[in-house]
Amino acid sequence: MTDEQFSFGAMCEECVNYIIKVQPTLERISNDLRTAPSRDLLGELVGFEEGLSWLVSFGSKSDIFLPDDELKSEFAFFVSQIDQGSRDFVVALENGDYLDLADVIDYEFLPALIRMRDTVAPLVPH
Amino acid sequence: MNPSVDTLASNLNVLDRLHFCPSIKDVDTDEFAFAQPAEVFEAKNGQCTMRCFDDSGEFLVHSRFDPQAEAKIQIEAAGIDENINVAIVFGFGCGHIVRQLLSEVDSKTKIVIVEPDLNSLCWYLMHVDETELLQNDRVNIVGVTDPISAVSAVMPHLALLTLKGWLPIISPPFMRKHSEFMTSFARELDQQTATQKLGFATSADTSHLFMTNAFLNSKYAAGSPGLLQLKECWKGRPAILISAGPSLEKQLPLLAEVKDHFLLISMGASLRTLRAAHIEPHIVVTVDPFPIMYDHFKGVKSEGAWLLSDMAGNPNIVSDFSEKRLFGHSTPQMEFLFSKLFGQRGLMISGGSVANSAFSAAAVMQADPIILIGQDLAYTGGASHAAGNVKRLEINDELVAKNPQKYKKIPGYYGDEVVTDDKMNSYRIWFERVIPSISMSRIINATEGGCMIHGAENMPFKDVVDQFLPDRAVDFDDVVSSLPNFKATDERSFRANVLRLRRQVRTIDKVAGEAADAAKNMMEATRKGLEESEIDRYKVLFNRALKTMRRQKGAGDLFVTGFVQKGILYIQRRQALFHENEQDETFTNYTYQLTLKNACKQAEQLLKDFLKKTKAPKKVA
Repeated sequence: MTDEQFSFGAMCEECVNYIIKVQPTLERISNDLRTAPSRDLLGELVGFEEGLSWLVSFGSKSDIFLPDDELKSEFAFFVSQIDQGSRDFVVALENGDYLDLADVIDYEFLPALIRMRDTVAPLVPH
Repeated sequence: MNPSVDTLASNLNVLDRLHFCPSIKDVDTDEFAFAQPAEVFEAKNGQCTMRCFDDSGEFLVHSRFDPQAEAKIQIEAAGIDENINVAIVFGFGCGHIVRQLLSEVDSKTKIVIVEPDLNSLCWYLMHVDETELLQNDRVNIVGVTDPISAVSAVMPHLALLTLKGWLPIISPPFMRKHSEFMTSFARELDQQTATQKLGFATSADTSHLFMTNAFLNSKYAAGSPGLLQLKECWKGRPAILISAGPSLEKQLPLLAEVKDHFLLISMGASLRTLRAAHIEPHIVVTVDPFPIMYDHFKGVKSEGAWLLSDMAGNPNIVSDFSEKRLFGHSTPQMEFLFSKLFGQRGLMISGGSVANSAFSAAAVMQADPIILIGQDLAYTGGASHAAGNVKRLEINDELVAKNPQKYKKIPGYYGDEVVTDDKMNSYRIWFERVIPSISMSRIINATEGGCMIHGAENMPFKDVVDQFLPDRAVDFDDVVSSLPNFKATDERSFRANVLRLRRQVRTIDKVAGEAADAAKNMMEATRKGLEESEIDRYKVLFNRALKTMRRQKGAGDLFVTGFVQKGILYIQRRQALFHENEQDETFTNYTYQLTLKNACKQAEQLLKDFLKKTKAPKKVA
């Protein structure tokens, strides 16, 4: 295993761990947005945006390490999903539309993240 | 999804028949062609959803992916459980929360929807046929834009007799769109539920006392006129209602100057303060049945004042204070019952305080204007009553801060904020509800302190005197002595009527005993597993007893049940909430009949004592 391959493996591990960690938090935030939204929740989402940027950057730059077209296509799909979600997210945030924010989390971000986790998990070196 | 006038018509037809949306037909749906109140569209899962807009932008009313799943989350977060039997949903939207609730809660749980946005409701009902949902008898829509009317329409669903627990379900978009409505609604609901609780507790706890007092007072009432006879007797002439609030003190010098020209109607609690200022009112009002209320009258005799008492007022006050007595009933039931003994005396409706009752009396007499003084209904200067009052309480900021449930700040007479408590606040609310219905009298609040009473005109007492001081002196004795519609009931007729009442009580006692025995036998037979035919035999006996009981509906029935109101309310509540099967029902019937028998015993004892003390007539009719 080359250093570069090792580093990519570590990033895959980081990606999977991050998604595992962030999933329940996002589910809780989404529930709260639908029932009892507050400014604090929006604060929590700012932290999530940073993580998302890192994931998008990881997804975009991983092309050279991916062994086949199917995986490349999965990564590209992930990036496009998150891009679309981010645009919807910004619109919902501007409108102060808590239910729409929850929808973006539940039906755009979370499915994309879970799919990404399942795709990346086999790439984590044992 | 296309809007359709026909769909709306079908929905409105049901809405109009089965729900409370009095103004929905006034919604101008033609306007929707130019300005739509919301966007109704299909969610990703095929269900209907809605998007609204305000100055800050667009916002969803339901999820654009899965509205029903979202409704489930919202209901779960609200915390519905088996102790809730009324759910109040704020905003109909596309009905997802209502549908989800119907699928989750048991069949006894009622769902009340409060919808202040009639335009959006109409617009939605143009898109979807909701007639099936609207015909569900567990669903009740209150569609009104005014929060106070909305609370009044919701309150019957929160009646304490049938309420186990209630739960509000408020979604974030509703709060965004209707935050002002929600604030007013919550404030009004707080006030109305407090008033309801107070009324319920008073009715339950004091019914025995009410009935006993009223009966003891009835021998005086038989020979005295009531509010019915006083109707319009003071038409167009001013009356001053003197309450015992702290602001009374400053009005006393001027009141002393004009005391012979205005009809002075004093609350019992103001009496000592007036005496100290050498003012004798023309009428003193007393309502409270409790022995402790005698403190206001202890050692004080009328020096010319009439006593206007609720029939259930403290009997010591009624017997001792004045030979000149007037009466009124606080409920139609009491009026009906005692009309069988000595004819009608009229209603003196109350909101809980003696000032409320006095106000009712002045309105019946058609005094004009009705002038309030000393009606602080707040702790003006930290005190509850004027100096000299035996019930005067003093509070401070620390006490107020420690008891936020009891003390609250409300708008003051001068536009400031004043501290009041639950009780006084409920009296104020009563005034504010009743004043708009008084068309024959101008209502002036000349308290110059305390709380603001919306609907009453604020005017300094000096200006009131300048403007309304009558030329002629008050001649209330003459007015009462020449009442055209009053005829006293003689003692013989009265005693004969009491004896008739006793016969009714004895019949009820006998029938209740038969019904209780039959119910007990039914339960025993069921427990022992006897044959259906044996159980049916007891059922027949029980139903026969109930049929006989139903024929007793009248004065005797009211008299008897008045003694055990608390027990009966408890049984009715049990009946409404916890009946699971026929055995439950039989047990409730059994306890109800035993309660009636207990009441008959108390009623019989009172009548026996009364008849012993009252002079026997020469001949009983």
